[in-house]
Amino acid sequence: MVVLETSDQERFTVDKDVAERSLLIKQMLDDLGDSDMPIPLPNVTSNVLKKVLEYCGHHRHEPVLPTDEGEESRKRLTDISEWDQKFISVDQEMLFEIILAANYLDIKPLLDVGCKTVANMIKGKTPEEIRRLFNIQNDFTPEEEAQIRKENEWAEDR
Amino acid sequence: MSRAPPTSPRIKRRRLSHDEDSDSAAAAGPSRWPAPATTTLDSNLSDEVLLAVFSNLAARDLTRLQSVSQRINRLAQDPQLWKRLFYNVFVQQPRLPTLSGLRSLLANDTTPSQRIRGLPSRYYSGHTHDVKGKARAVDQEDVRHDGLDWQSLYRVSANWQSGNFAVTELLARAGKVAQPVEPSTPRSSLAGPDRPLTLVQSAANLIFTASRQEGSEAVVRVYRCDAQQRSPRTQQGSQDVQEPHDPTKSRPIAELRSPRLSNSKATITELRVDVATSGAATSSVANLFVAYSDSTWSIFRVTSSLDHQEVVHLTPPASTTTPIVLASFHWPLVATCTADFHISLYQLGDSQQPHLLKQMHSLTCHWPATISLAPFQVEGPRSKLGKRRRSSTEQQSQSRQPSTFRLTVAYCSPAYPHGWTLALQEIVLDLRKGAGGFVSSRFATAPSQHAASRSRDNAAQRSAAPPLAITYDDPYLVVGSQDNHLEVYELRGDVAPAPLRLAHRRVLYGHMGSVLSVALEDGRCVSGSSDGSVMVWALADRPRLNKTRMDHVVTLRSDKQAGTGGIPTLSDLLARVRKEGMPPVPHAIKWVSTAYDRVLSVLGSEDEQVQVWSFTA
Repeated sequence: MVVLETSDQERFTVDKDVAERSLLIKQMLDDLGDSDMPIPLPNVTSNVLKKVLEYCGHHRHEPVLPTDEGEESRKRLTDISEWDQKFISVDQEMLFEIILAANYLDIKPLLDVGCKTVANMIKGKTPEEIRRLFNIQNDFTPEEEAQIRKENEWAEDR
Repeated sequence: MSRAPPTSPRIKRRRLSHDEDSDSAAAAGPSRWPAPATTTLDSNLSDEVLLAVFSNLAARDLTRLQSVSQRINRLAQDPQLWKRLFYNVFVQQPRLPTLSGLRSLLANDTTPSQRIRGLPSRYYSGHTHDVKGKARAVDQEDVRHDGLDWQSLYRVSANWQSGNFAVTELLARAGKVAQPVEPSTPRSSLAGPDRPLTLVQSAANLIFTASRQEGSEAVVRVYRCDAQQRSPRTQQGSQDVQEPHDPTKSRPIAELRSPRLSNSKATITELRVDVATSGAATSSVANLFVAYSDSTWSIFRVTSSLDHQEVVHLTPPASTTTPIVLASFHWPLVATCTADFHISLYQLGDSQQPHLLKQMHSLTCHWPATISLAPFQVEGPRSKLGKRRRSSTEQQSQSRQPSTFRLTVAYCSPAYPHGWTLALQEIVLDLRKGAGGFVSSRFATAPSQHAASRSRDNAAQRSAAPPLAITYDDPYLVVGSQDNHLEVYELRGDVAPAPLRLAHRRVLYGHMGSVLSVALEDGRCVSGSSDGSVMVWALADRPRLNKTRMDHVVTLRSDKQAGTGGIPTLSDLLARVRKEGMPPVPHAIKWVSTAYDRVLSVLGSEDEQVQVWSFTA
């Protein structure tokens, strides 16, 4: 068993194989050996870690792909599995928190699910819709924006 | 005691924003996604994570993202994103080759059959920096700096595929109308090639034109070919036939004249740009070969700032006093051909007069014919894959100044008892050798059983009429015929002494009129027809795999009156002819040429027009 401590001082006790879905934690455990000291995760809050551990628990029996080959096989899976889809149906803030946590904890499959979900939100939307969706400030002048759109008309025709 | 907090191995957070208003904003947000509170895409996700998100998107979404905000714009232009897209969409290889694989292709390989499909040949030679050693590991920074604008490559390829182009019409200088001249003597097959009166060549962003009409002035007009903004499109017409745009007009920006011909009545008979200088994407100089009707020729050097000078002027020996009608130019070699097939090969030096290397004459050659000069690696490119690896120093010296060249002459030849066939003569020269540098000479004709069986099976006119147009770009020879189709041959045979073979590969159907013109570059074939349409074909890129894909890509039209719904069906045509009589002859495409981002065409019946169809729009 491994004890994880979040930024809001909550402690989670999980099985080692669940915790080791995170390559960051796996690396730490390999380096430091077994210990019952809690592992501090100052970049992750308890509600996010709960979600992340839910994902790790569900995927605990899948082989952890080495970083390099993972890239290859990961790319082949274009779709998100049903369970993952349900899992990632969260509000935007939680989605980004999960992506950040997956990135920090180095859980590639989870990061990938998150990125694909965001990509699916972007797909087919106009620039205005994207700005509204993600609350992004338009920092172009109208002239700049018109220029960019004109240059990119070629991609709109198909 | 607690362990030190681990630091992220991958990405640091950009910044944490804790807006005080955000909680109330979140509460107010009624939509499915509550308005972002503390964690937002823009403020929290790092560049790398956003790039990972964007890598799941297609071109249209990326271009739309580019107008969202400055930061997103920068990220959505990332070369690696576009490179991946380019590969996925246009290269269609099962998986992305490693960068080292790509780089070796870019740096060393000039064999067309091994090229990545769709990547223009101008990116293959010399000017990518060589990286050795690191066999694997796709280094991100390296990709960023591989010097190619992947987004514009993608854009040009996408425009080719969809037939999305902008037309520029080249205008001759205002007020100068060529005087009408009585038609010259009726053409026999030895009278020279049947070709338009306007000669056109292009190099990088310059286009050169000249008139070979008798009585016209011996002047080369220079036009600039800049990326055109596309004009708004009409939305009608069938799917793969593009409606014409209103052509932009372009006027000459300079004129080239030979000072020696100021008092002469000579006209220009042939124009040819130097493929060695015009082929490079970054070239700032274009060399232009100009032949005159008094059988002299000269070479102009034009810089991108339009400084120009005549660097060579040559009066050939008295034995050949007929004007040159066809040439091929690859610095330092020029191959010239007269109407009666006297072929001469000259070597140019920077300071001295051209040196005549070789002269040949043939009595069996007939027009149309094509000459091509290209660098050739004797021990390598057409042979087995394993022999391809040579030491890097050797590669570098070869890419800088090739010394071995291959001269290819493809022409029509009468086939007895009746009909026509194709023949091809290949000569390999090594300039480092003495005695004209001759290395090998080979010859091939199109398989006679093909020609014979065709002539027996099909109507007699098929074989009785010689082809109308012919073009060669290793390894393909494409011929345009009077009865509306194209024939594709492939040249096979590694290096001498292996025999050279011309294998018939495909017949391409689709034109509704005689195929008057054909051009070929990098496996992309462009054909122009008397029906006023230009068709783009993709020839197979890897003949070794024995998978010939020769697809019709798109049909393009630029003439306005013909743009009424694309190519008519036969029944439509018949109905129209019954109702209105024969339709007016559309703008026949008499001549075409193609480069990676454009088609040049000469069209029209009596008044010729030069149009540039640009795919960068």
